[in-house]
Amino acid sequence: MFREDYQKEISKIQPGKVFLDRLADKMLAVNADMEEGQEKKNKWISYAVFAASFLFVAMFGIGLSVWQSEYQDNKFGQQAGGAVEDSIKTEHIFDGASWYGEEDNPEAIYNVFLEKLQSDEEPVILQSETGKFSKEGRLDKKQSQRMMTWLLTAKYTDSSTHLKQYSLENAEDYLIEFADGVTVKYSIYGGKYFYSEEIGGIFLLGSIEE
Amino acid sequence: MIQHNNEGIPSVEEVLSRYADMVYRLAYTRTMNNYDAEDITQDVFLKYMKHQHEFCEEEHRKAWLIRVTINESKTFLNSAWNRKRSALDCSKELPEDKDYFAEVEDYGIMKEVARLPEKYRIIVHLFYFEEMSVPEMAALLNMKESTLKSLLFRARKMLRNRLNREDYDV
Repeated sequence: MFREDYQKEISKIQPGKVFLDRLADKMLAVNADMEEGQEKKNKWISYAVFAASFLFVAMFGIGLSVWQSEYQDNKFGQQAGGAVEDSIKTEHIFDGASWYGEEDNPEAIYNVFLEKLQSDEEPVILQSETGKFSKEGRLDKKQSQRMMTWLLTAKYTDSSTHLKQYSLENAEDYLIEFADGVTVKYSIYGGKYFYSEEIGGIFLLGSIEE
Repeated sequence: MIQHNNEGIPSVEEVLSRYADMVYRLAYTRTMNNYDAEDITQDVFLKYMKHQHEFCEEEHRKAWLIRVTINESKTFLNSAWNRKRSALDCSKELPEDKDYFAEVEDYGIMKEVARLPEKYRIIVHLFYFEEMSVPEMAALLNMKESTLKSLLFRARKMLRNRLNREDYDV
């Protein structure tokens, strides 16, 4: 009786049509902005890939010609009684992965993130309850180390049970700042789930012994 | 049945037609004000647009919207602007018989639900309107089932006393 009456009364409370139309327009505008941003990003990535490929080929060509001329010199040197060098020095032009190179693959991006974590001895980690980060929210050394261990043990999950649970948990927001100036914002939900808009996907954090 | 696009994401119109009323009513239950409920509804759906790719089931989408609406309402009610506004409202000399819930004047039961403390209103709404079970609500609100049961018990008791109707099975 009460249930039916309550349902009947609250059903009369609903948003106005004008408001809903305006809201739909705003949502479509947000969608369009996101898609445009994505297209721009993809465009820049393709330029960057092209430039990187060009640079690689150019460097490879230069390297090859230098090697050839050194080889020739050594040959001549050897013929003249000199010694051939045992190895040829190579330079690592690329660090293995581009930050946004694997956009549709959160695991791959997370691996880049992990590489940065492992290569940075002491990144600055800030916590915020308001979404605005300041130096006051900086984790101390012990907390940072604990967080690093936590992040290093995270595993990607697309299990619907985990995704459902993740959406129910409260978030704690963090920002990590690496020595090279790269910053990544992320949230930890219910002490169990890692999510970062830049990385995408949900990662299940391992348990930490206190 | 909800229609999805090629990426498996329902269109804006479909999401709104399915969930706008639910989100709005939930926000209204907490704020008891049309304008505030509209603001919260807008914030929730704009936030949803950024997360729309993350849901694989409708149940997950619905749970996310309910959870975010509750959090957004809480943030709104705790915001400095709202606290300042409430303080200003209280500083005015209002007649004692002023009906603070004039918007729901036509509604007998809603009026009594509106007079419940805020923490009870949301539980009453989820239980009686969204027809959620105690374990579902406990998971959603991040509460122990026992705590939720006692809140629900107290809310029903208050409603029973206020409605003062024996034929009501609250």
